[in-house]
Amino acid sequence: MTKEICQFLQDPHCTSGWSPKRWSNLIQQGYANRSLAQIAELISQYQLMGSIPPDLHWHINAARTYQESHKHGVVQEIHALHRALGFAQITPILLKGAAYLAAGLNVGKGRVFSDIDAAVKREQLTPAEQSLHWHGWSNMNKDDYDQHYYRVWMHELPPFVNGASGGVLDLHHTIVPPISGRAPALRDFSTQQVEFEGLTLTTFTPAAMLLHSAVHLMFEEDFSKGFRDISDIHLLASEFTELDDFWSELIEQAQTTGFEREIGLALRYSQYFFATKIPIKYSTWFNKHLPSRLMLWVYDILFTELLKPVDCLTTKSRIASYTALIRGHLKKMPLHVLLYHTWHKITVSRTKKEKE
Amino acid sequence: MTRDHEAFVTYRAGRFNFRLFTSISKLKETVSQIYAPLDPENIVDFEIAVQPQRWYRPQVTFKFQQTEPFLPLPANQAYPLLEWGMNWCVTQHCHQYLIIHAAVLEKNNKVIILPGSPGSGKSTLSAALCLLDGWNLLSDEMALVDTTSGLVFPSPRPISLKNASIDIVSQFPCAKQITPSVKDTTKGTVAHLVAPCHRSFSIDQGYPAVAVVFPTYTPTSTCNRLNPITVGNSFMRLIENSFNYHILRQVGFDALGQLANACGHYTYPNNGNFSESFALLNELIR
Repeated sequence: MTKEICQFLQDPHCTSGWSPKRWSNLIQQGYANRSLAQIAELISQYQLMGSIPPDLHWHINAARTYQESHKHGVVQEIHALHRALGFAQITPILLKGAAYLAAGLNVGKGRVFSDIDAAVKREQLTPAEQSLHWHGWSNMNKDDYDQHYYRVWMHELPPFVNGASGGVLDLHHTIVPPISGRAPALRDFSTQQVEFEGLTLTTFTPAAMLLHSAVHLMFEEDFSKGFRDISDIHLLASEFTELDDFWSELIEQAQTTGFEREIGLALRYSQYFFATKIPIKYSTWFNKHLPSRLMLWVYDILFTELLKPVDCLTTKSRIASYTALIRGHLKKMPLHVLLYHTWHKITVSRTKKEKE
Repeated sequence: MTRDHEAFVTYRAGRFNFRLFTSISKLKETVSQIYAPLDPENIVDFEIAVQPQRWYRPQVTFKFQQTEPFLPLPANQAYPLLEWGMNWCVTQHCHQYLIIHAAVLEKNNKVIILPGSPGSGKSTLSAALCLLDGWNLLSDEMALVDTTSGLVFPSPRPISLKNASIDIVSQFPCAKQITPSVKDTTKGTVAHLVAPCHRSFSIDQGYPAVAVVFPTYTPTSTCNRLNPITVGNSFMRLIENSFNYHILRQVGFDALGQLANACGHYTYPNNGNFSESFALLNELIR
């Protein structure tokens, strides 16, 4: 039987007539896949609380309580970031979780995430970093090699910690590592302004947002939150499909930035798990940009394993996880850099251990 | 056919339903002696797993769904690990309550709360009150304060006894059900005591708290006395002992305020003279 969580996220109305056992399964799967707050949000939107066995109500309410407390923290972080970068007259673009929340999207209302992600133009990195330091952020303790790794090869600076709140900030200047040879300029992604908690904030437009989410997923090497990431794609696509011109803008964004294959694959797996609705004339375009048949066969085996919902007994296939680890790294950096990086990590961690 | 690691037992522990996946038959046996079994079709609150790993110096791991909050422990600590794991499940997720690290006891439909750090003697005192003086145990580890009513809800589970207190409590005449001692845990030697239930008290009912008592075991103290402290002082100490005050925020502040305003507050340095303790604590619920 398909797991309750996939059915529910596909169409919350499908729960009519569910037995208490199935609701109980849904909640446990929500915990396992870090989606309970999201489920709680949909339950309230679709007014389904009445169909849930009363003994399970507390799970939904407690998940909302936790989510509200999380949101409270994020709002404070966003205010602080806005103040700090505003000092240098820099307007950051909020990314991922923080952007979903600021843009008032369904996917953002029930999402619990650990870091704030934001992007500034490459030439703004130095003033942005200085201003963050003046306002109480510090770089997490990274050695010289890590500094080089982030500053020369990666698309983000070493993580910042807000000294007052302990919140972690990732400051990006593009969306994939420049060393991969595939990093587009940040300006290739269209942006919009949103009003949130008394602030005017900048995020990607819906098309750029979904594309970023897809690229992020397809460049990933750690799939421990795989299901949450693919359900984000589904929820974003389902909400944006209502907008005029959304799909054609998405295609245009994918073409400008060269991520046709990534968006095609992400939507393919979103459809695999949630039967995400894509208008037929656009889905042909996405399908046209998928890898060749043999590669696709391999990708399907890999990604249906990595993105599947998990439960208490699930251990993801080790072969799939290792393959993903190597594949993700190889997408981020060329082989010679990866070998150097691996060699460095192994020897350094050995000398560190010997010192201890 | 079920594979070994898919074998499970469904049971009720305190207010919550657990489904435990484990291939350790001895653990399953202990659990079925201590907790009420449930129909496997029943709804569950937490699906957890305690599984062995490694054949060389075998260990056990605890998992709630995909989360492993603790480092693996030596295999003989499976039962204590399960108990700590179940506590973790409740304190991390049950935000319908303000949760305070405390023992909670009830008599005459009135509750006293005994917050305390490890070593304060709260478990030993709780065991004595239950076994020798007719109190009901609402919880040995956590006060579940309902955020709307301020009432304390029961979630009785075995009392966790440590080190010397195991010998003291096992000499009590009615200490019938104590799990075998497990040595060398992070808390020293531990054993769990199933506390008897005296009068029929309802697990579905909340009880008003009348006193907050901070015990400290002071063997050198010559007389046992309850020292009144201010509500404000106690309030701050209760926050320090709470697991989710920071998550509940305003709601937590209000619930704790409601509870604290209705209580007397005391520190209680005591030398372990139980009969004196009984006399003093019974005064509080008169």
